[in-house]
Amino acid sequence: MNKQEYMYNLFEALRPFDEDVRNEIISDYEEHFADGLANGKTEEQIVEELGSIDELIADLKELKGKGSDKKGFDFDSMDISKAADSLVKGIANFVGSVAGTVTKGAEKMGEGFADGASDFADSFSKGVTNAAKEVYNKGSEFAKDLSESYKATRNTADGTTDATTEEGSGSSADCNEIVIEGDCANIYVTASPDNVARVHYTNHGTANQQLTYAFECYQKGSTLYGIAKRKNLGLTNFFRSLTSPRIDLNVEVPRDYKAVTFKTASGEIRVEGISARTAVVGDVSGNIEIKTCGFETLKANNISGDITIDGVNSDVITAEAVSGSVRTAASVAELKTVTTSGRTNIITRNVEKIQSNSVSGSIEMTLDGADGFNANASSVSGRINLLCGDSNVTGAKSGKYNLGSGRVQIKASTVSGSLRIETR
Amino acid sequence: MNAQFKKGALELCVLTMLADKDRYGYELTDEISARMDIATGTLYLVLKRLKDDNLVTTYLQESENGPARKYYHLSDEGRKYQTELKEEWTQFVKAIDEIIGGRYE
Repeated sequence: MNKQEYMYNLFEALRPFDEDVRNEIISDYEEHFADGLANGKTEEQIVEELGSIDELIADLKELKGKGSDKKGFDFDSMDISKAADSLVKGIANFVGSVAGTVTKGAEKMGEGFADGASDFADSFSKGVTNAAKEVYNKGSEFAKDLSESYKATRNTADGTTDATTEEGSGSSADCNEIVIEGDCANIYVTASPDNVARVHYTNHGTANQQLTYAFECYQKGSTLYGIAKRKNLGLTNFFRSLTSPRIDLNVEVPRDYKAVTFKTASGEIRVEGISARTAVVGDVSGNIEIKTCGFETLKANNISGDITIDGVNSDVITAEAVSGSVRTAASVAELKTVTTSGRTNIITRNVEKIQSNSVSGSIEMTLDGADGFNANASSVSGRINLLCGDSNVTGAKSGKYNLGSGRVQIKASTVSGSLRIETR
Repeated sequence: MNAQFKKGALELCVLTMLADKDRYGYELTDEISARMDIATGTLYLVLKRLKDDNLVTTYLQESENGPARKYYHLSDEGRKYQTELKEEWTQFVKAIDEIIGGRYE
C-alpha cells in the first residue's frame, strides 16, 4: 500500500472521531511520512511500520473511552426522517452484505455462474433497497428518489457482452440547494443551461468494483442530494484491499442557488461558472479548483490537496488546507486562509480584510488596486517584506505596519515561512 | 505482549527519551520501533495520551523535510512521573529476574 491509499483508509477510519483528534493524528502521520521519506525509507516501508489501522482505531477507542458512540442510534435527538434514513441504510447494508456474500461464493464456482449470481444479487439488492426506500419516503413525506441506474454494455467481437461503465443520474427543477458527496469520486460542477439541477454518476471500475459502490440521488424538501459511496459489504478487507475505481460525478447547477455543497475524500473537485449564496467545498487528498464563480460566502477545506480559487467574486472566502497549498485570485471583501505547511498565494481585488495564518508555509499577498494597507505581520524565523509604492519595508520585524492609505486590514502570521505583502 | 504491560513500558521509554532533551515524533518512534516489534502508529497514541494527561507538552518548529515538526517536551509533572515509573519498573524487573533467574530450576 502506498501513502495515499494508507492515508485515505486512515481518514475513513477516523471519521467517527472528533475533528481535532482526526486532524492531530493525520498531521502526526503526515509528519512521520515526511521524515521517513527524508531518511531514505519507501512509502511502503513506512506504511508497514506504522501498522494496522484497525489496531490503531481499537487503541484510540480505548483511549477515548467512548470513541465511536457518535455513530450509534440516539432516538431522543433523532427526527422521523433521520430515523427513516437510518432504517434504509441499515436494510441496504444488510442486503448488500447478503448480495456480496452470494456473489463471492459464486465466484469460487466459476465465472459463468458468477455473472448470473451477480445479476441475481444485484436485482435482489435493488428490489429490497427500493422497498426500503418506500418506507423511507413515507417517513419523510417530501423525499423523492430520483436515481436511475443502468449498465452501459458493449458487444465484443465474439458476441459476448462485457460491462464497461455503470451509470446513474437524477435531476430536479424545483430545488434551490444541492448536496453532493463523492467518497472517492471526482466531482465536476458546471452551470446548468436550462435551470434544471442534474447529477450524473459514472463508475469506470471493474464489475466487482462497481458492486462495491452505490449511487443515490434524491430530493428532500428543496434540496437535491447526489451521494456516491462505498457499500458496507461486510466482507472486511476483501474489497477494501482493491484500489478504488475511477468514479465521476458530473453536476449541473442552476443560477443563483441558495446553497451548494461538494465533498469528496480522494477525488478532485472542479467547480466552474456557477453562482450561489453559500458554497462549501471539501476534499481530503484531491485538489480543489474553483473558477469564475460568484458567491456570497465560500468555504473550501482540504487536507493534503491544493486549493485553487481563480476569478471568483465573493463577499467572504475561507480557505483552509493542512499540507496542501492555497492559491486565490479573487474579488473578495473578507478573506481568511489557513495552512499548516502549504504555501499561501493571494491575489485580491476590492479587499477590505485579510487574515492569513500558516505554520511553516510562506504567505504571499498581492493587493490589486489597493493604495495601502494596515498590516499586523508576524513571522518567527521567516523574512517579512512589505511593499507599497515607494514605501517599502524589507526584512521587517514582526509588528504593526501602516503603509500608504492603509485602508486594507491585514493580519498575517507564519512561524517559519516568509511573508510578503505587496500592492499593485 | 499484554496490551497494558506494553503501554506502560512504552510510556516509560518515551518519557525517558524526553528526559534529556525535546524530541520530535519520528525521532522517538523510529528509535523505539527499531528495538522492538511494535507498530509505530501505537507510539503516536502513547504520545497523544501523555499529552492529554499533561505529562508532555508540544510545540511546532520548522524542519528541513517539509511540514513543521511537532516537538515533545517533558513537563515537570511528567518528569516526576518518569522517576516513579522507572523505580516501579526496576523493582518489577528485579523481582521477575529473581524468580526466573534459575533459583527454581
